[in-house]
Amino acid sequence: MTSPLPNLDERISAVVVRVSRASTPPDRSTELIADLGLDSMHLLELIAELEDEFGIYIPLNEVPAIKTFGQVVDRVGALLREQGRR
Amino acid sequence: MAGWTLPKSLALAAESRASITYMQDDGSERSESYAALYGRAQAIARHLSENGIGRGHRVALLIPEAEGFVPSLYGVALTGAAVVPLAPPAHLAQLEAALGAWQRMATTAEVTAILTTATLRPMLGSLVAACPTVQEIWAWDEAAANAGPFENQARPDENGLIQFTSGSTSHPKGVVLHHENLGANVEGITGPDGLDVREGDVGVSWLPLFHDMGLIGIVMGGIHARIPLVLMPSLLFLKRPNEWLRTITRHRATLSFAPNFAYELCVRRGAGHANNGIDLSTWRVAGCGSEPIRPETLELFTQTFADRGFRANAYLPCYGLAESTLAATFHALGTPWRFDTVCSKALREEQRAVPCEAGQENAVRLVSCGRPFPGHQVRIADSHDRPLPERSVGEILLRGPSVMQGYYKDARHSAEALRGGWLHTGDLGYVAEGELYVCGRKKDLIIVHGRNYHPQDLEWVASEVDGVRRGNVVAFCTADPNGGERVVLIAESRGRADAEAVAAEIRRRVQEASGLHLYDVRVLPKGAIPKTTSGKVQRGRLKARYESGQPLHVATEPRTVLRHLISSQWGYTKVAARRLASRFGGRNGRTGLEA
Repeated sequence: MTSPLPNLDERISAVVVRVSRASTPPDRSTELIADLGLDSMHLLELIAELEDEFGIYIPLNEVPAIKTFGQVVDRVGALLREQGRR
Repeated sequence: MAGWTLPKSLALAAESRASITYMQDDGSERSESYAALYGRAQAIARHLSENGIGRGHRVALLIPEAEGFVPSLYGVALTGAAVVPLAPPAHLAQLEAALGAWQRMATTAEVTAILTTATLRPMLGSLVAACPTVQEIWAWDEAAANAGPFENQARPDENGLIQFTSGSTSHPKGVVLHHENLGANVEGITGPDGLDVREGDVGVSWLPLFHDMGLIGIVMGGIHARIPLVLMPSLLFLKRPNEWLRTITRHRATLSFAPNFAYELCVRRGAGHANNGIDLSTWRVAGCGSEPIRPETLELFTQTFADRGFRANAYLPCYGLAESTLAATFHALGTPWRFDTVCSKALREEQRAVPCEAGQENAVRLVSCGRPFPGHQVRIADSHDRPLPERSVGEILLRGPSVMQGYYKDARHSAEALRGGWLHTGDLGYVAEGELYVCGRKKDLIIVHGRNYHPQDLEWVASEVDGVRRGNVVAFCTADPNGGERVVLIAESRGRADAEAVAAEIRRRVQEASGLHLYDVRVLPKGAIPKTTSGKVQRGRLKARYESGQPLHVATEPRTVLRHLISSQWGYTKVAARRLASRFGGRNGRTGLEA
């Protein structure tokens, strides 16, 4: 899936780095829990940050299915299209 | 309190102009007067009573949202039956495990009927089948359909509440409280020697309602004191901690309680955000309890929010446990919170709280939890139940009208806990200048070569090591087959830490700090350490798993109230979400449980 917005990857990457305090930016296969050490509280923080950054609403029931950074990008992209905002 | 019953306290509140506000997941609010709430409770009581529920029965509540939980709580109480709150369901993948826990609790408490939601009801068939005492299961809103007056059947000296301290054990213990125990405690909390509740007070809370702090301290206490209450969903707090503070701001709230970690979370998560729009100048009591209180946390929160009007004098550290209804001691209202700087070495080796200078080696700061309520007593005792003088560390014993009746139909554990007319809390502490300081749990004490070590001290040292998930460390001792004791420490790692290097560093630091040699150090991925629903690490459980040679790195069931809440809201597949529909956890879809 391609990003519907320019710089989507970079913007999400910046949020993920901020929340996880990771030293290097994630790539598509980076796992949020296994690689970045995020716990459930961090995941909630990440959701809140992404919502603020993009003005979208991320349903919490989708979160367990999102394991990698690539999946975050795809999901945020899809939500941006669905919810028609940027 | 003489003559006190839960329904009576609501009937009195119904005569006031105060109201209760239920915040939704999207931040919107719905309010009703206590009179309207009383009306809904009476409707539920009528339904229950028409179906044979009354005094001598026990009704379990499995209701996630406050708007259904609160009227059901008082509805059950009106009939004279005891309320048994159960933690709302974990996600569907764990429904089996959750059903197992509810089944054990419902069986232990000999639950007569269950009040739940329309969406959960069809999923509880196996629960009804497995518990012979359960005769009926109703959805609370269906039960509330038949409005009309109902005469209070509750008696002060009969069971009002049975609260379970942990559902994850194989033999859960149900703490039995009479209405007058509840009355004594809420009066202690809200009365002149507690919060001294006054005109203009408003309470805000995001605490779960199936847990003593939110249930008794907030709901029962607020209604008893007839003050406006604002209940926000726990998940909203976890997602956006500052929503708690914004809600306090919006409602000009004066009273709010939370465990230590909540204050920490606000600092950590609030820092990156503008604290604009937050005004905490109305907040006169910031209660802190239910888990160890760290001076660092209180200081940091004050620093962060002082320019938002927060006053350090608002902190009210407290101590309590389910067996004493909820609260046992409170810090004196409106006075600066205080800590005692003592030598951790003396604490450990001599069981004495010896004052020392801050910054000195081995110095540890403990926060005062204040004094007992009027009519209640605290005693520190040695292992033979002999009272100890000030600054001697021993088991904390409690006496007074808030102390439980016992564990439901569990004579052995009841007698053990209540021997000699005192409740044996199993917590270790000392008294200095009349104030209580809590040090740890008695049964967790590590004794090596006749020396006592508090596992918390070792855990604290290990927590400081880079790559360790702070607070996710457990130390315990296990018998050496060749005689003596072995100390084991298990830590969860953070990020991509090198487990071996982290373990080596933990050994080095613990050796340095306590002189103790660790027999085994395991650094495991997150989720390895089991916790109770109140967030306390389950040392005993992990120890048992370690000793039996079971793998330690298996994911455990929901670990704390909060983790439990998170997992209860997440993990639903779309199909499951459709089945569970919107009422469960949020009706407008902001929790995403809509299909």
